[in-house]
Amino acid sequence: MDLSEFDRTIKSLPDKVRYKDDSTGEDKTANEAEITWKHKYLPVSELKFYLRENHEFWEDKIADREQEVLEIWMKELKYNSLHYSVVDKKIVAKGQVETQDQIDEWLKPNPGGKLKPITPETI
Amino acid sequence: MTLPGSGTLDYGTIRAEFGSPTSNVYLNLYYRGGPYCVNLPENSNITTSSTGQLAVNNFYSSTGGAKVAWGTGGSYNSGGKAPVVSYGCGAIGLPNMTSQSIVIGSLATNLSRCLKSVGPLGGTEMNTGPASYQNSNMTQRAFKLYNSSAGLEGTYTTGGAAGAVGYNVPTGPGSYTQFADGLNSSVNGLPAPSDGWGTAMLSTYFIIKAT
Repeated sequence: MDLSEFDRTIKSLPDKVRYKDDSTGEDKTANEAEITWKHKYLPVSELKFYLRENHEFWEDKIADREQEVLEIWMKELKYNSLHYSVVDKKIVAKGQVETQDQIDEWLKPNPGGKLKPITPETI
Repeated sequence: MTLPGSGTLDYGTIRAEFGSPTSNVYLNLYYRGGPYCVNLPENSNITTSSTGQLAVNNFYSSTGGAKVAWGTGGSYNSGGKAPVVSYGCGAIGLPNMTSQSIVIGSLATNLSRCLKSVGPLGGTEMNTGPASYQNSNMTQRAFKLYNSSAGLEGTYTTGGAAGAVGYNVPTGPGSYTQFADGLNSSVNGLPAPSDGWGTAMLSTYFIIKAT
């Protein structure tokens, strides 16, 4: 199941928060941001994340939270995390054989011709 | 970036540094070693127990940002006439790294292998991914090794050939060895790598931070 059709909105909160800029050693202030994930049509919760604007690891932390959000939605849709996981914003069965290459490999592992012949080196 | 070392520290400031999935701030979300607080010296005043006691002043100068790799290492003896014993993660006979994401200077990459071997051509080895090939962030970079109590166990510093243009250290796929770095640096009169990592520490829980 594809979970990719969601809206991610970022709202700047009015209150200032403090932090120390390591490059200058100065104490500074910034706004905090509220990031919200809401799916366009699936009956799943609206989930949020709070982080300081211009945080050094803004992209990484939001990407980590987004993966967590998708996994929460997967559980809300009654998929068992023992058997399913979220890969590239899609719910996929763990270890499922899908492509023709995977099916062929599963039916006959290591068939003749799997390794292409090469010309031997002359010493 | 870190939290200030003095002055007023409110819950919103802590939440904004570490990140939070809820608008309510629960300090016990931020125990050291948990999903939001990395086990680093800057965070050593924060308890490692999710049920331990936490106060706002434990968060002075702490950081929610450092992207570090960690794992629980093991050891592996290759056997044979010239055995090589490896200590760490990410190679044959060794466990995988638990978390591979790392920031090396300004390079965000993965550390999939981190070990030290003893034997012929032994030394420190890391796999830092294709983006680290001829990338100046690798040059004379200090990799600090921390234990589970956030104590510094030792520092490994790469040599002058590492990441430099014209050298195959690390290789195209991102495989770094102390041997290749030392050899290339020595031949070309560049600073040699310096190895302060211990084998014992690499065969238990460890954290690697590039500074």
